[in-house]
Amino acid sequence: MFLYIENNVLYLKGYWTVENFKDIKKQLTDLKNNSFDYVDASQLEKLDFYGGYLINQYLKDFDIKNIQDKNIEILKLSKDIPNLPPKKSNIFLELIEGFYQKLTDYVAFVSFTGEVLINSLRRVKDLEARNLFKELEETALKSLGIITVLSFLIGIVIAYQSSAMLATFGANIFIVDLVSISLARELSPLIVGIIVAGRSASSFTAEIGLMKVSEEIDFLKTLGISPYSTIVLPKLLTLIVWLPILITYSTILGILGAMIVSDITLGIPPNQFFQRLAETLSFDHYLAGVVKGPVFGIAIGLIGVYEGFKVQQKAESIGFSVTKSVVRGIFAIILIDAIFSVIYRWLDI
Amino acid sequence: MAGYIIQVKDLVSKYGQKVVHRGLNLGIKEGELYAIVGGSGAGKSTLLKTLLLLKKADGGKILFKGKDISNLSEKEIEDIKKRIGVMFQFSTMLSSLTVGQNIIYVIKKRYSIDYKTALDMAKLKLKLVGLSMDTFYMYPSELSGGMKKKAALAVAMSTDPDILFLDEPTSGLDPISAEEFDKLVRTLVDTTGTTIVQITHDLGSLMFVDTVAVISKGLVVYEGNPQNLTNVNDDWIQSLTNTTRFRRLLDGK
Repeated sequence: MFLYIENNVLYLKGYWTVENFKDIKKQLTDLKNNSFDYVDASQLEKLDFYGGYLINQYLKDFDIKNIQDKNIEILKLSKDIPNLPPKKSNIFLELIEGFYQKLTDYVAFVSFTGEVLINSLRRVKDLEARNLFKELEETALKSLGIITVLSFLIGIVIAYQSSAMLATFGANIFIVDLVSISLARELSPLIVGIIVAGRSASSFTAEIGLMKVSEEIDFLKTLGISPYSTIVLPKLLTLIVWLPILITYSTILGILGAMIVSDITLGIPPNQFFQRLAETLSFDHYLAGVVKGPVFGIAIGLIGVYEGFKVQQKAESIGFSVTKSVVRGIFAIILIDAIFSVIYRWLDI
Repeated sequence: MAGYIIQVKDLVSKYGQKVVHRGLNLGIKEGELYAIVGGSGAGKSTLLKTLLLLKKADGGKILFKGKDISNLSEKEIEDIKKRIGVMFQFSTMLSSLTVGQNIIYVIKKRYSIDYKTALDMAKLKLKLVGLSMDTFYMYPSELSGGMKKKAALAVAMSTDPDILFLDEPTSGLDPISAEEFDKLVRTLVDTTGTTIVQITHDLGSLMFVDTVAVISKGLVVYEGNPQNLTNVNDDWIQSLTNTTRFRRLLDGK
C-alpha cells in the first residue's frame, strides 16, 4: 500500500521509486472515484524521478503538504518534461541526400584510386619485402584451405547435378566439357573472387581502420612514409599476383572432384576423362578465366583499403566499414564478371 | 546520519597467483560523492569489477545496504544489479541506437515500464545532465567527447540507481569540460541524493568529492576528506600530494 485516504486527506507512504512504479500507478488510477482535499507526504520515505513523475502526472492539481526537503528537489526535477524537436523526416529530401552521398562516395573512390596509384608508384621505394611476405601469408596462404574444400565440392556438385541429365541423352562424355569449361571460365574465378572479397577485403578494412583509429596512419605520414606504399601496395600486389594462381588451383580441384563423380556415376575412367579434357579445355578458355584474377584483385584490394581509410576516429565505424567493404567487394566481383562476359561475347572468345 | 550503502570488508582479490587486494576495507555512505584513486596497477579496476558483481571476491565480504552479497540468492543479486548504475570509461552505449533509444531501452529492459513513461523519463534525464533535446535523436558516434560523457551519464541514471559508478569520468576531456562534468556530478549528488562513486586519476575531480579512498599495494591506505590527504603518512600519498598539480589545486581552492 503506497497511499490511503483518511479524513479527506490522501497520504503517500513508503518508497515511491522505480521498483514500485507499476503498483503505485495502479493505485493512483484506482483513486479516480475518491475525493480528498490535499496530499500529505509526511510518510513518504523515498522519492525518485519515477515517483515524482507519477505525483506530477496524477496529483498535480492538489496541494502537497509535509513533504521532506530531500524530496522537494526530485519533485521539481521530474516536473517539466521538455518537448522533443520535430523529427526531420522528408522522404524526398532523404532520397536526394542518399543519392548525393552515394555519388560523392563513388567520386571519392575514383579519386582515392588515382591517389593510391600515383603515390604508390612515386614512393615505391617504401615498399618492403617483409610486408609483401606478410600479405602473402595473410591473404593468400590462409585462404587456401577454404578454396580447396569449396572448389572440390563445387566440382562434385556440378558433375552430380548434370550426370543424370547427360546420361538420359547418352551424352556422358560431355560432362568433361560442361565441368571444365564452366569451372575454368566462370565458376572458379567467381568462387575465388567472392571468397577473397569476403576474407581479405574485410580484413584490409579492419586492419587499416584500426590503424586510423589508433593514429598509426598519421604516425607513418609524420615520418614521411607513404601509407599507400607501405600498406596498400603490398596488398594490391599480392592480390594481383595471387588471384590467377588461386583461380588455376580452384579449377584443377573442381575438375578433380568432377572426375571422381564421373567415374562413379557415369563410368568414365580417369584416363578417358583426361583425354577428353585435353581435347576440350583450350588455353583460351583457361586464359578467359584466369585473366579476371588481377582485375578482381585490384577491385577487392582497392575497396578493402578505401573503406579502411574512410573509418572515422571512432572504433564503432570500423564495423560499418567492414560490412560495407564485403558487400561492395562481392558486388564488384559479380559486376566485373558480367562485364567480362559481355566483352568476351563481343570479341567472340 | 546516512548509513553505508556499500561496505567492503577484508576483500581479497586474485588473478591466478597474483594477489590484487589483500584485505581491503572501505565504506561508501548513502548520498555521498566518493572517489577511489590509486596508481596504475593498484587494483582500482578490479575493485570496480568486484563492486559491480562482475568478478567474485576471493575472500572477505561485500555488504550492500548491510546484506552480505555472498549469502544472497541469484534473484536477490539480480535485484541488486538493477539498483546499480555504471558509466564505463569510454562512455559505452549501444552504438546502433540513438541516445534517446538507449535510455528507453534500459528503462524498458530493466523494469518493463510503458513506452510513454520511458520516453518522458528519457527527456527528463537528458535535461538533468544538461543536454539539449536534439541529442535524443543523435547516435553516440555523432557526439563530442563531453556530450558523450553526459549522454552516458543520462543512460546510467535512467533507472534512478541507488549507487552509480563512474569509471574515469573525465578522461579524454579538456580541463574546462572536465570541470563542468565534475560540477554536474556534484550537483546530481546534491539534488537527487544518488550515491556516486568515481574511479579517477584526475586530481581536479578530488576537489569536488566528499570522501576519497586511496588504494596502494592492495589496501586502502587512506579514506576520508580529500583536504586531509597531505597529512597522511604513506609513500604513495606523499608522492601524490607533492606533485605540483596537486599543490596548485589545493592552493587554488
